[in-house]
Amino acid sequence: MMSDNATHDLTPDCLTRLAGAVGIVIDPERLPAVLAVLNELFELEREVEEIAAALPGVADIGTGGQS
Amino acid sequence: VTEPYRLTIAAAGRALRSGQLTAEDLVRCVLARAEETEDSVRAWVELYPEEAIAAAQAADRALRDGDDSGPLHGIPIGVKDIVDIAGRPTRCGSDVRHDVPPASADAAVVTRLRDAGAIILGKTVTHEFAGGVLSPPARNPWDPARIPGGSSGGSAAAVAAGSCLGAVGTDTAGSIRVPAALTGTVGLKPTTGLVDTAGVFPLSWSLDTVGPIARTAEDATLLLAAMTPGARHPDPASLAGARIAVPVPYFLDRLQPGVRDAFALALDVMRGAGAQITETEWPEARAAMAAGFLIVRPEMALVHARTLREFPERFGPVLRSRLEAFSLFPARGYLRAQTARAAVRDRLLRRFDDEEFDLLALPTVVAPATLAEATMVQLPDGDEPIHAGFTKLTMPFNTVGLPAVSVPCGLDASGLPVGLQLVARPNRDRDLLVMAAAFEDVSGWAGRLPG
Repeated sequence: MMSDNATHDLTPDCLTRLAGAVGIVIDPERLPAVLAVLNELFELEREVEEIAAALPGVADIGTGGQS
Repeated sequence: VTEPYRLTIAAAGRALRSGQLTAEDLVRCVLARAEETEDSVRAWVELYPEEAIAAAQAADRALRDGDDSGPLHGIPIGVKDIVDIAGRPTRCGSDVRHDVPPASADAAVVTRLRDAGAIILGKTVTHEFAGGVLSPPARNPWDPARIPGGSSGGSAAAVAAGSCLGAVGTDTAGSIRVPAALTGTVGLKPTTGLVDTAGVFPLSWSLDTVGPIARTAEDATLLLAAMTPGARHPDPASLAGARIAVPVPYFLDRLQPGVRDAFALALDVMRGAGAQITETEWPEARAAMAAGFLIVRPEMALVHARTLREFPERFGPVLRSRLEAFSLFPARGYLRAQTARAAVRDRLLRRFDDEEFDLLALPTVVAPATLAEATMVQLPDGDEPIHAGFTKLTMPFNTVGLPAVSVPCGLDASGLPVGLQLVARPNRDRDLLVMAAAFEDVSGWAGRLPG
């Protein structure tokens, strides 16, 4: 459904269904705003991943120990 | 004769004990000051004049009988409207909570302040659910066309306007330090966990802190001592021999000229007072900022999950969309941030030890107060959204849990206050305030009121 750290594969229908699964109703007109905020969060996650991945205690997380 | 509203807490305490001032006169004076300034500053959600005057009269009687509660005896204090006051609704600056019942008990910090003799004057304006830096409808006493900062904007504006002598704020990403910097006041984000957050409406339980806003570091020390159990009063200190490091990169990369110049002058002042100024590299600072927001946002979504499911129409469209997005963000990002948080904290603390510095020094905010209608802050190499821009220098220290204080360090060319941020090791809050007071002594910027 979703590629790693990106929302571009997350279709409006997919987002609506995902929201429904947690009891949230997203009006169609607000979908772009929700996607924009989600993209901001994924961007923040990328920043954490890039900088913190080299730190002791973090390096192996996400790699299954294959780093 | 100094008008009582202009007194610091320490000076008012001396005046009360010498008989030059009564608590009732002091409370009546700040209430009159509120009446004078509220049309333009709008710092208060509500004031409790009758209760405050009755409490002041009781404080005067107690003092006459030799019953002195300590440095806050008879001192009028404001409380941010996400902090419970018994018998009063905690509306958190939101229409979502317009019909919330009154709180059944005081928040722990309010109980401690009352026990220390403080008089609770009223509730101050917060940005909605403490989630922003604008704090409408409050305005900046230095220029009412501008924001006071936030989210504890009402608390800082009230202290700066003279409608109280000190205030309670909360800080999850910078919400005490940002408004302190923008209003020329002193604001301390204590070590995470030092001040009890019971009875404070949560923004993010991992990062929320409660702390003081005052006109001087000495006053902030008096408030912090009342807020925390087992407080000790550290001896005064000077900056001579203090080892102060300026963290690079990131923190100095994008500053408005007025902030850059005031910060450079602050370093010169500290150097002139005998401090050793060095640079230290904290390459993970940006990750610390990002991790902080990745923690706050999903936690905020969970705080509001039930309301979002059952009464979503109560939220405005912008906040509702944000909470929906926060709710759908995968747990992976939150967990990655929590893990990174421990690692970046460890790296920073190791630098304190390895490079043997006592404090970090950096600007509090990249720019002075913006106009109220602005959505972007103008920086030398491009505009940035105000919330992201105004919290980028403060959030990293919420993530790592260190104490950080903002003290005034000058005015920009437009006459707007600029803040210097000093950061210490965990649980060195009082020593941090002592060094902030030492900076005030040599800089001469503390305690100035607008106009």
